[in-house]
Amino acid sequence: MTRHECLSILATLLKDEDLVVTALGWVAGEWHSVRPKESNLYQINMGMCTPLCLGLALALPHRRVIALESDGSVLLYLGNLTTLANKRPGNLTVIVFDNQCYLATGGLPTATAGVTDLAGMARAAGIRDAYEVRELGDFEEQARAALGREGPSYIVAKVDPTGKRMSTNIDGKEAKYHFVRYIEKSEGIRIIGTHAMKMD
Amino acid sequence: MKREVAAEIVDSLKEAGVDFVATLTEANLHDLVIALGEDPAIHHVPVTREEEGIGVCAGAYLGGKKPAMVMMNAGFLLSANAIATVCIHPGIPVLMLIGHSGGVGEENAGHATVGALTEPVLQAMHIVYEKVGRFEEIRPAVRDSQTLARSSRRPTAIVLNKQALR
Repeated sequence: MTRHECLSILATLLKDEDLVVTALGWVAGEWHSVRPKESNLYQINMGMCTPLCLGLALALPHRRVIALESDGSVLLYLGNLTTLANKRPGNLTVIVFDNQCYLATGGLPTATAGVTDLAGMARAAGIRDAYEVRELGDFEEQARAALGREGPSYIVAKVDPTGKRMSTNIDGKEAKYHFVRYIEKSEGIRIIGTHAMKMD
Repeated sequence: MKREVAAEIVDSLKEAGVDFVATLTEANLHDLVIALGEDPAIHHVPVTREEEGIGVCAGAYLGGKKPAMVMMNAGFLLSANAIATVCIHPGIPVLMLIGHSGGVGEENAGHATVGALTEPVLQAMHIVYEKVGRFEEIRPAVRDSQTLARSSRRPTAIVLNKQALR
């Protein structure tokens, strides 16, 4: 099972207005290639994707939010699992593409290449719907279930240590403006002021 | 922190439009965190580590909230990379209230080094900050720091000194 195959399935399950945030690395380019929508936010720095999605999900509880995470990123701030479990945002699905290595920086193993069970850790943190999947059919089933239930849901997809070196060519600043303008438009709110003297 | 100081900070945050606050508590911030948690006008997210709070605040901003992060200076130092990459680089405003342990009036020798590093790191990161101690300084500092955060699309900071914290 590859991450790209999973992403291709996920793209078919989402509505245009579902908000999808990707971690740093090749996942951003791969996701952009299968679902180039304005409701995507790309390239959130290591460790920050799930916390950012938690804030986004709490701010917009009526929108579905999907975090596309990696094992290396999640392992940086494991305490966030407990915050996620206790805040229980019903609209948040976290999908961790666990390739068991730091692929983009050369492929050294992460802790999940050893004995560590991320889905088990998520369950122990208090996230009831946390599952590990290893086959594409199981991935689709769990993704469908996650998107249909009151969450949070946490899917750890064990994927091959391969990826496509794809660039979105979107810098963090540009990604933010695209995303914020989309949120403003779709929610009918103003986030970034347009006049220097009156921001809110 | 005295309860009236905590109440003044919470009221000032609300007056400045802040409606979402992530916190990581500490002895000096205890009453402030309780007051934030009890206020129905503020969405309070207690976090386990300060970087996490920065990420949560950034996401809340993207969803239309006006966020603030309450932490001690040790947590601010810990958060430097998150603040740089998730807030400063893309241009996301987060008002940070930073308790300054190890500053003037500090009695605990163990805090002195972190205390001495706090302002130089804020300056190195080009984060505009106000040092606040007296009660009457709180409201204008919160209002003006939030205004600058929103207009500049950058994080700003209020450094609460020992006078405010004790």
